[in-house]
Amino acid sequence: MTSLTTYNGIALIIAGIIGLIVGWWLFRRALDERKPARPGKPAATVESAPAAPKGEGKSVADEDAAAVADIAGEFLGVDVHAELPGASGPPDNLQILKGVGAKLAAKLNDNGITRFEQLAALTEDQAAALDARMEQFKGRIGRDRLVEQAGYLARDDRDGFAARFGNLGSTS
Amino acid sequence: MSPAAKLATGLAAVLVLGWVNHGPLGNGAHFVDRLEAESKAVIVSTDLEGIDIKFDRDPLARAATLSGNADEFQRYGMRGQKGITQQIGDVPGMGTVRWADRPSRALVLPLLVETLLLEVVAYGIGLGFAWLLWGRRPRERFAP
Repeated sequence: MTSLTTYNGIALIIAGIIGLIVGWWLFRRALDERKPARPGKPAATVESAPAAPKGEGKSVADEDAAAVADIAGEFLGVDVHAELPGASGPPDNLQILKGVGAKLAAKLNDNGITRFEQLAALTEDQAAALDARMEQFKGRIGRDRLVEQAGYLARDDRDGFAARFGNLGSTS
Repeated sequence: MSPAAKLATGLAAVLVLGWVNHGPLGNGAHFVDRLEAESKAVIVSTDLEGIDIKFDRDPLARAATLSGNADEFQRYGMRGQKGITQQIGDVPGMGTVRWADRPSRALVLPLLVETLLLEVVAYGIGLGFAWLLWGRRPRERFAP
């Protein structure tokens, strides 16, 4: 059998590659379907697209300005990025997020996070910056997928949340 | 396209590949030709005269049939000494070796079937790797 395998070596390698490609075709699709379309960022709508950007833009000039502001902020000891989107409105009970207890919720509040919408709208950089300020709770934003969880609650998609993370507690 | 249809498409491609490799490209016939040539060299090395060997060609198979005058010792050897049957069986890639005057009930698979089975196994291995790379569910963990 070994010799037969060697004799058909090239054909067998091609068969293996076909298997790999078919597997990619099968599983990659399934993987994409499992992955929510970045629930932390609500899908852009026609209504929201033309809204005038508040705070930083995405151009090179804006990024440079933001970098300068960051450095200046460090020297001056002020948080130049305190303005977070969605900060207006009544605060949400952050403790209904899975993995968030009273202390972690308080720490988030201390850092200006009071609403799901704020958490949901965090970019990766913003989430990393916030995480760096979480002291003993460092790493929890990513580990507990708080941005993703908040994305569902910001959209009031409680069924989606329950399907993904389990039922909401009675505190909701 | 449904997952079963995708799997079937890949399987069909692999089976066609195996058949083309075996038949039109001639690798099946080359393989049996090589076995026959090496087996004949073994017969020559034994110094036995009048021994002939033939391989199943319709369909092609790794099954050799020996014929000619040889006693039991020459055919099957004794204790540590190998007979011509064992020596030909040791040729790399050889399947079944039998004698024309001794009917054998050993199952002989056509070479095409063996080739296709190997192709299906290779296809399965490819799928397995794909599952390892892209098919596993991400682990979900939450803090207590």
